[in-house]
Parts: sequence; structure tokens; C-alpha cells
Amino acid sequence: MENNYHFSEESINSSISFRSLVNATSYPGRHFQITKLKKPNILSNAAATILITLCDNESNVYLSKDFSTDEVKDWLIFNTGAIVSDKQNADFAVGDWESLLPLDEFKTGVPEYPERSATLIIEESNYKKIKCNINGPGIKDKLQIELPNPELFINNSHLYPLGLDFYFTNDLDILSIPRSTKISVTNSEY
Amino acid sequence: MYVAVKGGEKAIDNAHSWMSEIRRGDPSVPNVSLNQITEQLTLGVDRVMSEGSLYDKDLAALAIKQSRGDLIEAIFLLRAYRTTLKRFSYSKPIDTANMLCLRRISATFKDIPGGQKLGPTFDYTHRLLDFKLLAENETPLSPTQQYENKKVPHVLSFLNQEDLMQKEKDNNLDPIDITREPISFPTSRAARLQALSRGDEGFLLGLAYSTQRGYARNHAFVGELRIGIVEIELNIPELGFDINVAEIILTECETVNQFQGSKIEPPQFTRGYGLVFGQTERKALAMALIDRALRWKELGEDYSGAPAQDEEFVISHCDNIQATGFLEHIKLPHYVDFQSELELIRKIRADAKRNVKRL
Amino acid sequence: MNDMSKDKNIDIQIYNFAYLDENTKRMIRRALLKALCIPGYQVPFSSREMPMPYGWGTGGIQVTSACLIPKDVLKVIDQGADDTTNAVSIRKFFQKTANVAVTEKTSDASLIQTRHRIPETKLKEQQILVYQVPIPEPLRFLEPRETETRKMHALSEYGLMFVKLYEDIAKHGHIETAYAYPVKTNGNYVTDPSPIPKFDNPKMNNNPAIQLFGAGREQRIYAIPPYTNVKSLDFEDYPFEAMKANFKCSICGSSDSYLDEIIVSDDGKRSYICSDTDYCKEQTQLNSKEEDQ
Repeated sequence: MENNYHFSEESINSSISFRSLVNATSYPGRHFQITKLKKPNILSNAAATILITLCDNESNVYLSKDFSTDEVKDWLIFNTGAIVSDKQNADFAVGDWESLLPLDEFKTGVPEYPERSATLIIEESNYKKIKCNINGPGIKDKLQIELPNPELFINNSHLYPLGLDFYFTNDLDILSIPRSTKISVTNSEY
Repeated sequence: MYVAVKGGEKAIDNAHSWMSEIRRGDPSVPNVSLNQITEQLTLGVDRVMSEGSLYDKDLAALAIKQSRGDLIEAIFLLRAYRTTLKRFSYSKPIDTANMLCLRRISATFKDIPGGQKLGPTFDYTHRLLDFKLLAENETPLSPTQQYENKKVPHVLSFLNQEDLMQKEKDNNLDPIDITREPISFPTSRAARLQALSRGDEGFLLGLAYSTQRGYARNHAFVGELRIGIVEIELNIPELGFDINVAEIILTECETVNQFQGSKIEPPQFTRGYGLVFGQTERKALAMALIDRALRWKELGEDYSGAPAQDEEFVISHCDNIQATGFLEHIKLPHYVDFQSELELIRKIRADAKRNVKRL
Repeated sequence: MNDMSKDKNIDIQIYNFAYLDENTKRMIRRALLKALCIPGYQVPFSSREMPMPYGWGTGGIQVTSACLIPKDVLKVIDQGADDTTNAVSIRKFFQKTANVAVTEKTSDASLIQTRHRIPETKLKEQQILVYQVPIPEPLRFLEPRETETRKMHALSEYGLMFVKLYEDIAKHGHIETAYAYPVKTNGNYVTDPSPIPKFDNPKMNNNPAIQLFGAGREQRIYAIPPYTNVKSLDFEDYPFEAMKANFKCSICGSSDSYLDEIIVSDDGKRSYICSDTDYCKEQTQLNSKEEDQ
């Protein structure tokens, strides 16, 4: 059949990006790929995709210090209309691991509304990685991954059903650790 | 053998084409035009616009035509269309004190500054079928009068001057937009008024009536009911000034209700408020009565357990599109669940019979 | 033909891919991801009016609209069947507004929207199952107020539910719930599985696929991620029991699939056939292959 449909590129791209996010969030600890887009150099494709797919003029976005450049802000506001905010009010936060710490300033939701919590987008940097076992929803049996400061993730999972949700981004790659994931450190190095 | 499940697709197509044919009716009778609907069924159009939350007479008329005069179906069509529209901007708040009134009455004063103006109302007609209308080309005319285009003050502002009317406090918060944000309870008065303004006229009428019959009685007087044209203004930051983008007709009702007070606090009247698109005065009155009943907590009144006082009950059930959808969905097949019920009842009955035998 | 493509062009100009506009999709997508992060928790979302009535699956349709991608293969079922009127209507809607491929085969579908059933064929990783939900609050019939039930979920205070189930047992010797039988998700939230027969409940547990739930009129979205523990509520001495008509399908002969009872003659004679029409077709084909061999 002849294809007479001409949907906007924006709507097609956003749907495909969102599917990657659904898969990443559904299967924590596994790597999923997104496609390239036009974005500031300092942002990875993956982080930029998350922002552009999910943020609009109702979203508060915290940019950690290296990411809080005019270029990033202009790009974010032009493409999403999002509001650049402080840590306490952030719905989304972007930065490398060290610059997002301490985590306890981000909102973790309230018992009646646990979803009113921040989503952290952690850009790849050479933070110290420690081998961990993870299990929980979305994980068949268990998986082994590397995380920075596992104790912070363990603390976060203890807040469940409150807590923060994480995406690790690296170029085209996304990996998610939602609050529901349970973490244990595998060896005694920690 | 008998197969129950096949043929759904064909059945739908046939039903739809039959319905289109029925909608058109006898082809020898002229097709009803949208102009005829917008000009001659204006109150129906107004109801569809108000509960459809979209001010567009032509689209409302189209919806009425398409729905064969089923107004809830027409409201539904309009809502479904509305939801696809882009939201460019929010207008400035409307100032109803600047309304060009077509009708304006007060039940609380014999005469009021600006005057009582009856306008086009059924109120004092005799409800006798008018067989003159059978003639299709009558064009009644009414006497003309010079319109005074000047600001008419609200009646309740006169009570305000004496401090007899409780002042509404501005909480300085942006009101939530219930079409963009889910309502959570307890909710704000702004959210409640939005829900009531597009709520089902029949539902609100019944509830308002119940307050008059003692279920959360609050002794409402119609301080003022006004219907007229207001301007919609938009602030364009790039231009640095406001522009008038539309003129619409609104119905506004303010009720004066029982006062409260104490030994140390002088009593004041309280207010119920209704504001609805179009000429929709039954709805605006009902809305004002219910608004007032829902304010019991804020005004320190007792909760008598009346339905009209119950915010969650009223707001969760006043939307006719939600209500009619869920009500009518029981026409959809449910045989899978019913099968499960059948198995269960048989099992329980079998167990019961066995138990009887054992006794 | 030319006229038809003109009509389609009109559709294209008016509506976005898969009907909903990008802003609405963003809002739904944020809710969906939080729902996946908090399995079984009902996330409020600002549900839109859809061109179908509330009760016809507007929640499921909005979730599907927000999830659909051009290369999806869509299956829509109602009562387990692809050919039921509402399933036909929803499938057509997405064919028209998203131009996606459709299928009746469970194993070929990448996204399945369902009302009242979970397919018999085992689902796979990255398949998405979208449920249409009428009343997402499992506690609603015990406590009508949202303000109260929200508190009960926040405090994991589910005593009322167990009291109700226990009273059933005391009165009838059985739990009086045959469908929409409540489950506990990831050991935390009591969740409504939508009005599926309780026969389907065990399929929710530890399923490799992604299960998303949309309640349009009630403005709630929730999710059960893959490989999540989903337990039907019960008591040690009264364990949960899946249930179906104790017959074989009169078309394919299957005895392990959920059966619909049909009345085949004026004197009330009954026959039983698979509710899942795709599964039934597959079994029939398998049988004829075996006969051929």
C-alpha cells in the first residue's frame, strides 16, 4: 500500500527515543541505544535525548556546574521550554557524578505522591566504579554492573517507594537504575 | 456450529453507515444547515460550548448536527476536538464588570444602578405551544432601543461598600488548569469552579435543587444574574500591550447567602459564584448554589453529610463525558468476567449442596 | 483512489503521529516512566478527552498513543478476541492515525492493547502489554474516597482488604472475587489487575514483557515492569486459586486456556470455546499438522 502519511519528524523521533527509555527503565542495568541529535557538545546524545523527550515548560531542570553553560541553557529552553532550577526543585538533573553530589538535596517524593521525585541523568566521567550485584523489578534473577559510591544507591533503595531514579548516559548509551533496584556490593574491596 | 465472535468489523461498518443514513433522515426534506443551528438553536449551541469547554458556535453546531441533536454526544465531539488543539497562550482574566449586558437582573433589590434588564428570557412567557411557529417563514421583530455601552457595576459591590459582603481573598496563586493537571483532593476553589463550569447541567441542577430542599441548605438569594458580551484580551510581550482577540457571551451569577459571625465578629453575607459560556442561566444559578455549598469548610460551617457539600462526590461525578462513557461502557462485552462469575457461583452452589447432603 | 489519499491528507494535517500532540505525550511519558520506577503505584496524569468515550479504553489508548513507534506491530483484543467490535475500532484508529502494522498473532505483536484478558501465548521481553482499566483503585469499593485510599497506600494499610476477603471466606467458604482480583506488586502496593478473570492473574507474575495500565476517566497510569513479583492476595489456609470452566474448547480441544461459554440451541445447550481467538487458531493449526504427520 502506498504510504500517504507524513508525520512530523519530531513526533517520530520522540516516539523512538521514548521507546528506548521505556526499555531502559523496564530492564534496569542493561544498555540501550538511542540515536544522534543536534545538541551542545558537552551533553551526550543520550542525556540530550532524555531531556528533549521528557521535558517541557512544566519541568524544572537542574544543570550541575560544568553543564550550566549558556549554550546548554539556550539549547534546553529553546527545545523544551523547561525551567532551569535549583537542586531542591529539580524534576530532572544533569551532570557528572561528582557534581551531582550530595544526593540528599534532591526531592524524593512524599508517601502520598512518591512520583514527585527527581530523575538524575548521570553523564559518563571517570568516577571510581565498583562492582555490584543488582536485582529487583525488571531484572531476571540478577545482574552485575559497576556503580559509583554504591552505598548511596543502597541508601536510595532503602527509601522505597520514595527515592531518586537514575539514568547513566554515555554517548548513545543509556542504562537505568530506578529506586526499585536492590544493590549489593560483590567483593570485599568496598 | 454457532460462532459468536466473528464479524465485528463488518458489523461496525454497517452500523455506522446505517447511522449516517438515519442522521440525514428523509432526503426529500432539506438538510439542516449549520447557520440554522447557530441562529435558531442558540441555547443548545451554548450548552454544547460550555460543557464542551470550547467557545466556537460553528463547531458546536456541527457537533449538534452530527450527533442528531444528542447534546451530550455533541459535547463529547467538541471535547475530543478541543483536546487536539494547541494552547498558544492564556488570556488575561476577564473583567465581567465591563460586560455589555444583554440581560441583568437582581432578586435582592427592586431597582439597581444600571437598571434591571430582562433581556431575551423565557421567564415570564406562558408555556403554551405556539402554533404560529408551524409557519416556516415568520420573522418576529422586537422594538429597538438605543444601547448604552457603559460599564455596569456589580450589584454585590454595593453590599461590599457597607462591608456586608464577605470579601474573596486572592491567594495570589496561578489557578490550576483542570484540563492540563489532574485534580487531587482536597482541591482549590479555582479548580472546583472550573469543574462546575463545564459540569453537566442536569447533574448540577439536581444537586443545587437538593440544597434548596434542605440538604445543606444555604438560603441563596440571586444577588445578580448577568448575561452579556465580554472581551478576551491577550498580553503579547513582544508588542508590550494587550490586544482584544475575541468577544464572547458569558452568563454570571452571584448569590448572596446566609451570613456568619459571632459575638465578636460582625456577621457578613457570603457568596456563591457561577460563570458559564453562552446564555446558560439555569447552569450558572446551579453552579453558584453548589459552589456555596462546597465552601462549608472554609466558612466554618458544619458538614451535614449532604451530597452537595461533598467535594469529592460532586467533582468526581459532574462531568457528563466521564459519566456517560463509563455508564455506557457496560454495553461492551463483559463475557470473560461473567464466565468467571459463572464458574464461581456454580462452585459455591455445588459446595453448598454437598454440605446439605452431609447434614 | 485519488479521493482516498486526499482524505488521508486531511487527517495528516490535523493530527499528530498516533493522534496525541507532543505536549500531551511528554506528560504521559513522564508518568509512564515514574510508574515503571514505582511498580504498582498509580501515578496521576492529566488524561485527555479522546474521540472514544470514557469506558471504551481511553486510558489504554492514551498509553498506546504515547508508546507507539512507526515500526510497531499492533494487536488489539477485547475479551481475548481480535474481532470484537471495540478491538476493531481501536485497531482501526491506530492504523489510521499512526499507520502501524497490525496483527492478530500474539507472538508477532510488539505492542498489545487489551481489555479484560492476558493472552494465553507467553509474552516475550520488550513486548508491551497495555491494559485498559476502568477503576484503577483496588480499594475503591471498600473506601470510596480518594483522600482515604491514597493514605492507605502511603501507609501500606491494607487491613480493610484482608478483612473483606476474610469475611467472604467466613460467609461463603470462598473469596467472592472472580475477576479484577487484587494483587500485591513488588511486595509493596496492592494493585488492581484490571477486570481480567482471576485465571489470568498468575500470568502477571515474573512476566518478561512490560505491562502498562491506563485509566483515562480516573486519570491514573501504573505499571508492572518485567520480572516483577506479583502475588494475588490470599491466606495461608485459603490459597489463591486460578479458575476456569472445566471443559475442553469445542474448536481446538484445548483444556488449559480460558473458555467462553456459548449457548448453542434454544433449549439452552452449552458449548465452550477459547476466549483467546489467536491461541485457538494456533492450537487448531497444530492439531491439523499432527494429524497430517
